[in-house]
Amino acid sequence: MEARTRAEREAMSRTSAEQREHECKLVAHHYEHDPEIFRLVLGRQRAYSVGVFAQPDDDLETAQERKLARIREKLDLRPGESVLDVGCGWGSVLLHLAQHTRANIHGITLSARQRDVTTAMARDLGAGDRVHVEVRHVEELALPAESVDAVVFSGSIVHMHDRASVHRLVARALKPGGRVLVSDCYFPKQERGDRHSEATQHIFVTALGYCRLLALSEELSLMEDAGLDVTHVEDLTENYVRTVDRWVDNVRTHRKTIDGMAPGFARLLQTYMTIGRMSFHRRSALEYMVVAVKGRPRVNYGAWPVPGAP
Amino acid sequence: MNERSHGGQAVDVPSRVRQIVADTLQRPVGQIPIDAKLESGLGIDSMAMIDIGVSIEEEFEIALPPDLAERVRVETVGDLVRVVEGQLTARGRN
Repeated sequence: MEARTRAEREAMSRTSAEQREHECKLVAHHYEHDPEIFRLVLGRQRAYSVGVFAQPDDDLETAQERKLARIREKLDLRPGESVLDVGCGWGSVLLHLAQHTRANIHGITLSARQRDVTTAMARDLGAGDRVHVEVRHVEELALPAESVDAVVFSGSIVHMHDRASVHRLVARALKPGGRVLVSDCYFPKQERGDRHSEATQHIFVTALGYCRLLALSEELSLMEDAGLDVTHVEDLTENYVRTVDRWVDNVRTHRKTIDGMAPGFARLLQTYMTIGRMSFHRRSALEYMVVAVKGRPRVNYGAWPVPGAP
Repeated sequence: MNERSHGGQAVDVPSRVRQIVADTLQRPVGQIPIDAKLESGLGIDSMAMIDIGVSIEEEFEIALPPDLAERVRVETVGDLVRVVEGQLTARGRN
């Protein structure tokens, strides 16, 4: 696979161990800022990923709640099943699942601060016994084969360079019938926009540490190579434009407060979010939610979207 | 309170916009005439345009339209000034 960006080319010149260390250090940096900043910008759930808008004027928290419910529907967790949330952030998905299912939840993040916030919130919800969050790189998880019922990557796989390894370890860890859900950003297969520009470098490296956008077909291919069957894909690109519009509005509203907590951070957020918004608006970046299954699916995906489901 | 004044002084939007453009490009403000073309004349790329937009928002406490960086209607420094004045007027009415 050829490098599409400067960040990707640099990553390809590192050994696996060096790249893991690079991700642990540089990706975590962004998320180690005061969690209060992210509550102001991302809303109550601190969901740092696409919302799903049924109406163009839905507010951010409604759109995020709809997205979280959609992830829950797609993962279809039964009581006592286990789910791994890779890159769990401040726990938006994990805490939603803790509240609305009886599953056992394992979250991993690269940020100690995110681990602490998420762990405390799970305890406050009375779900401390079913939720375990730790700081760990996904490639350093030693999961027994066929030990997990579902794995979710919500706005996190973009930070992981070695996607082939990630999908292989997920496929190995899933039980037969296990599901994996990926919701993230992709490049269109045909190059649109300048992927070597200062703007791309700003968003992928300066703001977010390390990002690697594949083409959707490349991600699906790696999932298939790992032995998984892709069962559902949906485009959420326009929803991402709306989500980012609301984030930027929140940065504007809280600019002084944010700058009081972290000088210059409001500007960094607004700058990278504006670049991202423009890319999704022009479709030089795309947003997809993908579900794949190991073995026979339990759900009839032909009946989706489930009538009446949020 | 008059939103367009700082300490009783009327805001000189053209000078302040030219100063922001100059600071972003790290060039003297004298090299930023009001009729300069942003892209073909001053060589402002999309990253610099976004930087300018954020600086304008910070300076004037306004929200610029999201398509500003696409420069459909904004070709010159003067066009940029008109967008800022339009937003300041709209804010003054609210």
